[in-house]
Amino acid sequence: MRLLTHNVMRNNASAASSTTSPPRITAATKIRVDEFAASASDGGDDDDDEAMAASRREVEFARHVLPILDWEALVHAAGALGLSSLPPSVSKELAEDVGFLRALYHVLMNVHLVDGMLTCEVTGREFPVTGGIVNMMLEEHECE
Amino acid sequence: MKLKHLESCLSSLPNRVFPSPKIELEQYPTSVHLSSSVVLSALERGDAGPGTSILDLGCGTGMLGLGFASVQSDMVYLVDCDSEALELARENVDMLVEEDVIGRSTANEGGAPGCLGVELIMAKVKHVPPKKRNNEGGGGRGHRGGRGGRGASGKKGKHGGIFSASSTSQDDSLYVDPRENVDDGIPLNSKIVDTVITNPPFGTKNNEGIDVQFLKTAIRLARRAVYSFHKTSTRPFIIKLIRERWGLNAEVVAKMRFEIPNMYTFHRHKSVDVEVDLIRIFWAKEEGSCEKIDGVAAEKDNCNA
Repeated sequence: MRLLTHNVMRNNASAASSTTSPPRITAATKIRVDEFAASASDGGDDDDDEAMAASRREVEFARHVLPILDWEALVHAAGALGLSSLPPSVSKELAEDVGFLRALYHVLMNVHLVDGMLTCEVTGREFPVTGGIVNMMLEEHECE
Repeated sequence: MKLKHLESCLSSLPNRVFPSPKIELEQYPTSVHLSSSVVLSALERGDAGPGTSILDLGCGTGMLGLGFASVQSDMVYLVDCDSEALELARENVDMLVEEDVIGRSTANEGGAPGCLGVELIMAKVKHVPPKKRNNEGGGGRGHRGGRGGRGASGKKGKHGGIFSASSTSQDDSLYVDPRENVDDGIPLNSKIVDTVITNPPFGTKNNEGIDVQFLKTAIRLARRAVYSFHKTSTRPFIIKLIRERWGLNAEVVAKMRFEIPNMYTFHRHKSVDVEVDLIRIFWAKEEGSCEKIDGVAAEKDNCNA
């Protein structure tokens, strides 16, 4: 499960209606971090062009997704996975900074929680993550 | 991307059918041809491809969602309640990762950038059928037969009453505006993707209305457009619900014929043909689109072979 996916999760059960944040990552027994593709630039000109195009796409993606993020939750989740590079808040200038957006892309898309546990702060409901798939199955009585 | 190219891409997936389909989940295969046609329709309308994120609600083995991934959509979420289906979908994803269709933003051999990532999520759309919800009521408001039903000829007026002022019974809650109710069993924030594609269960005697429940969840999760399959026999009802009750735009993108194979022993026939509409629900006002809502833009024959 990518941190982007975690960030758009909400426990929608009515008992948790007082929260608008994703469940906290309370256990992370296995994490996978894909390589930072945009930094690869040791090839020929063609590779450079490709890397540039790829990098531009990543920056655009991060810019596109930034407004829907719960930033505080993202900082917390990244921290739970041992990443402490995110700033506590995003200023207008930062939101346009290419270096920042590239790093944000990396955190959102290349960092995977493979095995672990999410816990709803309000209800204590746990959502296990197994083999990279988060199990968000709610029982019928939980959503009435 | 050409239809043939997309079809050959999807044909390479290892899991295109369910080895042991689950009857209660109405699991039957989505053909490569059908999936490709849907994806290209969405691509034409700007609802798919680079710069868009997609969610496949009730993805099964992922044939639809992975079609969207194959046209370089940024991000694709595959959501299903069945862990076995998700496992099949995961093998399909792995295949596309190996072929550089899905990966990071680097270009593949053809020079086109791939899909940035596919995520698998296990979650279930909550559905309480109207009859169970409203035991004391007279019932009889069921609005369609099962997936293998014989169409709805001669059942005119079966949807009557749901828009009437006197209709305040509990089953009315099935038809409330999807944006007013987030408590639908899918623990995802509203408007998290651009486009949602769903091939919902059409419902049986025991869970009628589940297609409407899927549609509502799909609408809640999308920012831009929803593509959903509905039996043609329910078209007047569905279109009216979307337009008049929910105030959204709708168009019938294609009319298709689903050949539902006889996967279950209680089906007497080898397969059943069901007429199905691909309906597009969208937000933004688009020129000319309002006038052709009841029109069929394209007629397509489809075989789920």
